[in-house]
Amino acid sequence: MDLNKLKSQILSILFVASKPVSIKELTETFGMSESDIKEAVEEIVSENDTSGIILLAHNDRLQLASNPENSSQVKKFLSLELREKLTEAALETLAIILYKQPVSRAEIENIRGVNSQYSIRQLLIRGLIEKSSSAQDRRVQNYQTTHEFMQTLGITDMRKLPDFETLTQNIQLPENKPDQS
Amino acid sequence: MRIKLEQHQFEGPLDLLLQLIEDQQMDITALALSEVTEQFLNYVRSLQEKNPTNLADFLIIAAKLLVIKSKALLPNLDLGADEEEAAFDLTAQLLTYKKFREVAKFLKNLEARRKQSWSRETEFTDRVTFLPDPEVTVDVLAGTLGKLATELKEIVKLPEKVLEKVVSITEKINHIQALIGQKVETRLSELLKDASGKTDVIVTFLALLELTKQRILSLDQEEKFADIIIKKN
Repeated sequence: MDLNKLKSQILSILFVASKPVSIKELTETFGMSESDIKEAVEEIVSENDTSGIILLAHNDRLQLASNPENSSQVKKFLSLELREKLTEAALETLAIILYKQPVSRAEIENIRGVNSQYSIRQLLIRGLIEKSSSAQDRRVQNYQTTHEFMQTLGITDMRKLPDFETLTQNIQLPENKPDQS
Repeated sequence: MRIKLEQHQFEGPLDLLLQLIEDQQMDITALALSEVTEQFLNYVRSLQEKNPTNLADFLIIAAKLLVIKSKALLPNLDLGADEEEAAFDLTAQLLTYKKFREVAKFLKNLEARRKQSWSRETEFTDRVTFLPDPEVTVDVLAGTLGKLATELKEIVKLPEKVLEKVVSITEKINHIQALIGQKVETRLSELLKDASGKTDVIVTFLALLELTKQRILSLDQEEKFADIIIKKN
């Protein structure tokens, strides 16, 4: 199928569906391969910056949303109040989940060095993260970010987020190994 | 500086450690950690009284700090490989934590832009369409409705049954206590004289056992299967 036509049809489906649609659902609908669908999806995502309606692709699920650049106008139209800011603890926890996802609570607490149950619950309630069960061990609950996370922070494409290494390049151990001093 | 530390609410032990090291303008090294051990322990002591919620988390780090400090003072001290490894992991742990703090700062800036997007909340409800079977005629519908009505009549005529009054143990206890208040001694047969059924007998007996357990009554029996004598203690 012509790529433009496929893009147009995917957009129509996403417009009608009010919930996130999985790539798998689309492959079934179109009877096409995952890579074909993903190619079209990536094209649509690359046009996000110039469009009033953008496509959020995250964890192989797709959802249409308004462009965060138009945030203040939409907010005015919906007469929405500003939401409460995230606490430092919640931001720390979210940072770990974002770059380590899917990640277990034990791992989060290992990094933060402090019980993080409360922060995790806060993020869950705000819909910024969700639970998923581990592929290796179904008993382990993992956490990952959501479409709501992208929407709240105005992220239009997960791949546009800076690398963990780039973000933290200024934080390094001194040249000599600490335990040799 | 002590005052400043006590006013600030730290997110956790690593948050505190980072602050202590940064105040000294030092890098994250084992040496720096052993330098701030004293201050860390002081903070933990104050925490014990004011806000012990995450005390355990602070104590784990305090233990690691003490291992590092001991090692700095007595280089020949052998604490066992596991202990030492766990302690020197602390520099790595602190570094990782600091990196994620940087990421948190980045997210905070993203949030501060207040640029948000929204998804559609509207839901299209399915349009209801009715496509009757061609064999369905007015007669068939009327017949089905009549059959349904007769079936409903049977459902409506459910057999009736009256709920029996149930005596609770508490009620029975109060009853027995009132009774024994009048008489010094009574017998089980006396209590069961007006029993309304098996349940009543069981509840009475349970109430007696409870009162005996609470040492309000004492029970006595002259021989096997004889009547039980109930006395007030």
